[in-house]
Amino acid sequence: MNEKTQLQGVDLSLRKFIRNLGYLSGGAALLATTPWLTSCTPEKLKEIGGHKARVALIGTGSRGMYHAHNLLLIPHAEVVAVCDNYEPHLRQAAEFFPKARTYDDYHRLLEAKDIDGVIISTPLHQHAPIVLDALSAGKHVFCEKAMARTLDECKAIWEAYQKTDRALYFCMQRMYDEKYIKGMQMIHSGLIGDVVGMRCHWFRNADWRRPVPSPELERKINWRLYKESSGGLMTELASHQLEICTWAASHKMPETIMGLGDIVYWKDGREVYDNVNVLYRYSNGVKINYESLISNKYNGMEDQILGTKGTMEMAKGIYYLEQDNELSGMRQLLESVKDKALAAIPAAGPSWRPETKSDYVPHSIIQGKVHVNHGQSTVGVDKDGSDIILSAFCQSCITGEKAKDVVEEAYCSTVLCLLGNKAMEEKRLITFPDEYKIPYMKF
Amino acid sequence: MLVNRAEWDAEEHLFHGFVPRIMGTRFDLLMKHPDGEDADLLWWRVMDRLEVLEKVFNRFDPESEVARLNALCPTEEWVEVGKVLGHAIELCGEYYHKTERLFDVTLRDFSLVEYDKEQGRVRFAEEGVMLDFGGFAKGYALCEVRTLLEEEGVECAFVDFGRSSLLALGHHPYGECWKVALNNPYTGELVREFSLRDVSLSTSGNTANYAGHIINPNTGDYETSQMAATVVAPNPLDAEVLSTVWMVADQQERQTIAERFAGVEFEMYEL
Repeated sequence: MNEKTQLQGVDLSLRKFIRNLGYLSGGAALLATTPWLTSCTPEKLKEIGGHKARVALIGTGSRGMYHAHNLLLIPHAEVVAVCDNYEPHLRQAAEFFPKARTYDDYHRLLEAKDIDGVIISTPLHQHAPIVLDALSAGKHVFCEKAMARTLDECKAIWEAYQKTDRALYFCMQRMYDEKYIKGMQMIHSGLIGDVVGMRCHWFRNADWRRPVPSPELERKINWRLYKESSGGLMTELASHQLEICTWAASHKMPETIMGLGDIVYWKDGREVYDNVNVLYRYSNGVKINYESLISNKYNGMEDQILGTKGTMEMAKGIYYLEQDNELSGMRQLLESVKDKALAAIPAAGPSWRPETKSDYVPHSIIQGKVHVNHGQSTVGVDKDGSDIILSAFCQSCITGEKAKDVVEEAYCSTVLCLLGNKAMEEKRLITFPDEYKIPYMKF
Repeated sequence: MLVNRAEWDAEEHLFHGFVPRIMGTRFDLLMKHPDGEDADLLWWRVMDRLEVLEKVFNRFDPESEVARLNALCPTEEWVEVGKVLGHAIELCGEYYHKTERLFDVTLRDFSLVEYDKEQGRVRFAEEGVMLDFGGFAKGYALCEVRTLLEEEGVECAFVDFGRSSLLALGHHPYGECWKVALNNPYTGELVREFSLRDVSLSTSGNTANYAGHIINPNTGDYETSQMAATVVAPNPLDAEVLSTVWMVADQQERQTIAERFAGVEFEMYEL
């Protein structure tokens, strides 16, 4: 596959989807439910002409290089500098972008006038200082999730964002993933009825470690395992999934949080839990049931939204309807076409015989090839929206237009992750603290 | 916007869309189409039309035109009605006469409805008159859907509206017709198989869970027998209207009505 056709597949599919929304009756209303997409419509992409965003990578480890590969496919992006304070990582980035300047200190990079925006893929505890410094330096900022290591840092970023005219993105890629967008629109249009529960889980069977060349680098390389630099499974995995819950609930936030976390299997000196169960409760009694462990991968990863009329499995891009057991007529007709056989279908009875067993039929949220993230990669998977949100960021570097709601969604999900950790550490029921509420939230 | 889902089978060139809840029931459309995107646009037009009709006919929606007319119950002043509702009332008048007054959207005496076609307005001769398009609207909608499909050159399509009103255009991708089975709702046994092509099939009847919902307007009695009626007709609205009529008509009335609807196949089943 050459670069151009790949680009069409990567960058244009969502834009085509956005464009098509405009052609459909009710399309404008649909777009209004995903306001962050309005800053990256095909029309706005056209307006930037041949302009290129001059961007720099801060943090060029595995995730930074994942973005680097995507940047190559974004025509309106030019990588002018790369930065990492770990020499092997900086070297691999320099080899990848031979024309880019190299820095081992991000402060110096931020002084450069020819950089429009920075892409931050560092350990979590470095997010807040770098994001705040970069905004102060007048840069547009794209930062990996989660937002920050602590609640106060999240609040500081949110406040800085209220004052800045710079664009700020956190890599909430599901917001740019067509199957999530369409799935959410289905939820919000009432396809699955009232949302009565959410079940999110992420299971892996791996130690989450990276090889360390020498012992003093342990905390630097394996930052995910230590509390000073990481919120563990909650910030690294749950942050995406709790964002889905916020999105599904239209910014309604849980009121109370409880949870239990333990190190069950990987007793290798790590500090973060390898086994978490967190329960979030909304004021109407609806709950998010979050579960993650990394010593069994049978269940994989899934974001399940339960409604009175159906169930969404967002990660697989599939939904099930409660009433499907009444629909055998049309189902049999569709099956008969698949079997290339004409068969009589019981379609005309005054009523239907109820089926004793509910055999749920999966329906696809989107047509064509669905890219399913099975949740086993620790770096990232193709076509999960990460490429598109990065492309949207590069567009913002040129237009200066902020993407609505992305920071707010990142804030909400990160705060939920951190409150989950707090509930587990303190082994108590936590009420959502007033000081971390923002106007975007509803309770 | 209507809650809906659509799927495109590129291999078979087959489009399937459904609306889980419209006019109190579910709507499914299956069609052969050369182009997936065009099929999708056509689907959106079909839904637009259904939504319009829902806003006219759904008497359970207090905002619908029928509900507002019923609430107003204009006995003295004339009330203007929209084109669709006016047309529907006019058709209901024709069916009322052609069915020996058995098809009656007032469920008591349609002659109490005065319709002024010239001015597009209506009034009722008595207090308490209400219109219920329950046995009419799905057939009316199927007529409009058929028109939309035919305008787009769709030759093969199967439309299932609430499982009791079907429209079969052309044929199944792997057959000469669309085959449909009528099962006994009390026992599940096959009652009859239909081979449909360019016709509509409507069924009416009682089931174990749902009986006594059909009323004879001439006697005021509810029809509760363990019976079902099927009507196959080129026109979906004829099928829809006549299947209910068949449930309440007596032998003499059936004969008279059948003579007025040439090319329509009626059947009655004891279940």
